[in-house]
Amino acid sequence: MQYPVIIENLCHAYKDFPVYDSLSMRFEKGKIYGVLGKNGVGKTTLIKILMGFLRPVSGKCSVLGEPSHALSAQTRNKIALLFERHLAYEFFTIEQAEKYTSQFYSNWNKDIFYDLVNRLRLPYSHKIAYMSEGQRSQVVLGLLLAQQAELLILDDYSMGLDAGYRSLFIDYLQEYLKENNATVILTSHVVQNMESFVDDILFLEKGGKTAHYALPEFMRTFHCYTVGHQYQTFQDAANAVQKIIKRHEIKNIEIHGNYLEIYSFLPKAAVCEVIGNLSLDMAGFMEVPMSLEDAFIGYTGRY
Amino acid sequence: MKNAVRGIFYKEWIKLRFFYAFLFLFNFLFVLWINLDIYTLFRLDHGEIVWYRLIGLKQMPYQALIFLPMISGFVFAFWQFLPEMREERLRLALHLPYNNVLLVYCHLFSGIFLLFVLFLFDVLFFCGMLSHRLPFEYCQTAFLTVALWFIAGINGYLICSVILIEPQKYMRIYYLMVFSALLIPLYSFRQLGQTVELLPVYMGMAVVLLICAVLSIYHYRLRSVQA
Repeated sequence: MQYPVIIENLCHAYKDFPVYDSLSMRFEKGKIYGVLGKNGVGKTTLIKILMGFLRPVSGKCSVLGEPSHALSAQTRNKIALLFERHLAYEFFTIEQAEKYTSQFYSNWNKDIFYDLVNRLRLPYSHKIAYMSEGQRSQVVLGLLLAQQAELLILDDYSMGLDAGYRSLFIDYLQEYLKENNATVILTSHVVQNMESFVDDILFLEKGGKTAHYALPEFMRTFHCYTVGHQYQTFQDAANAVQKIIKRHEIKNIEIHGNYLEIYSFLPKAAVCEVIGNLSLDMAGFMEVPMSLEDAFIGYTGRY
Repeated sequence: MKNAVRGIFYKEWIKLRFFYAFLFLFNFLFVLWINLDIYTLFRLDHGEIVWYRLIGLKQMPYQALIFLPMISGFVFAFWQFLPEMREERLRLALHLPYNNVLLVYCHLFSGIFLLFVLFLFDVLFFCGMLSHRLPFEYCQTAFLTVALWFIAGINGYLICSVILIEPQKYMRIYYLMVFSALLIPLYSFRQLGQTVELLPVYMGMAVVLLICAVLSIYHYRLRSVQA
């Protein structure tokens, strides 16, 4: 199957509050997708729909060929889910968690689980309730990977993890994906780690707008420019930049004390032309390099 | 299917075993206390008076036992399903590659099984002690009377479980009102053997509650609006 996940004209709303109007997207087999967006744009809603715990108001969300809210047992066998906060049964010990989960999955690989868990250097009789969030994340990841699923959906995998555990989580996931042609869809509030292993990114914006990019292409074509401004008040600057954002292909302008950050897919010369009418110090106009996190903030805006 | 049953029973046992041991001890002490109360009755009163009260007036000096299964059922359901509902952990079980109805029934039947063993112990312990002092015919009627209380305890467990699983608030209130109303008659009878005819009603109620559990899981799994 070339597209394990297909979303077509997906609409969802909470009472009178629309989340998506007409969301369409195809997720290719073997790729890693990062779903990005500010709080409240519907990332968790999308993940819940994909996981089959929320039925969309209308439209289609097909996961491995079946509607996501009506997955058969055979299809669930091929999907591994990571719930927010690395949800696990805390009354289990490491050994009990493995023994329990292994009974349900036909492709279960005990070695994958213990290979990961052994790195924690904890006795197998250690209870999950007494683990740190980072240690628990490793156990949960072990339980997911041992299923040898075709599709992994990871809801905010980084929540509660420090930099070390985030990096460990990603390293092991990458190692696993080298040998398994699985598709991964993930969300995270920590964008910086995604840069090294995500193939494609999907931006969700308020009102149901979406944009899909291959990560290298996005990082190559999306730019940040800085330029000094001479506006007396923040409001004056805001009024001026609003007109530009509306008229041109400027994605976002962040106003700082005495300079602006301009985010756009336009090249430097084109942006220079667009902002020529503003009261700006064009001598200092320059492009600045960005990390994915900078680009994410620039793309979605700080507020 | 065997794996699913074994897996869920294993999980529930790990989760509940310490609480179950505590509940077992509590039930044992409670029934022991009831039996000591009956023993005291025989010791302080003349045999004819006790006979008149038990047989003639059909009084039940062990009436307090009526609350034990219901309280045990409620508390057991909370202990079993609150960890599942906290942070929606039930999703972990419902994503397992087996039929959701089978998975939820495995949870419920593991609870019913453990409660059944506990209640069976209570009833046999109680009736066994009673048979030392009273004739077989009396013990038989007493057995049927207390058996109903214990079946109602299983119903209490099911009501509580269904209410905990059900995501829709109005359905929770509906279940609470309807099933609580059905339990009230049990507590309004005060005489031996009076409630025996309710036995099939409460057994039927358990079946209805098992069907309601499927409905609740359907609501939980396929809700279109976040609860």
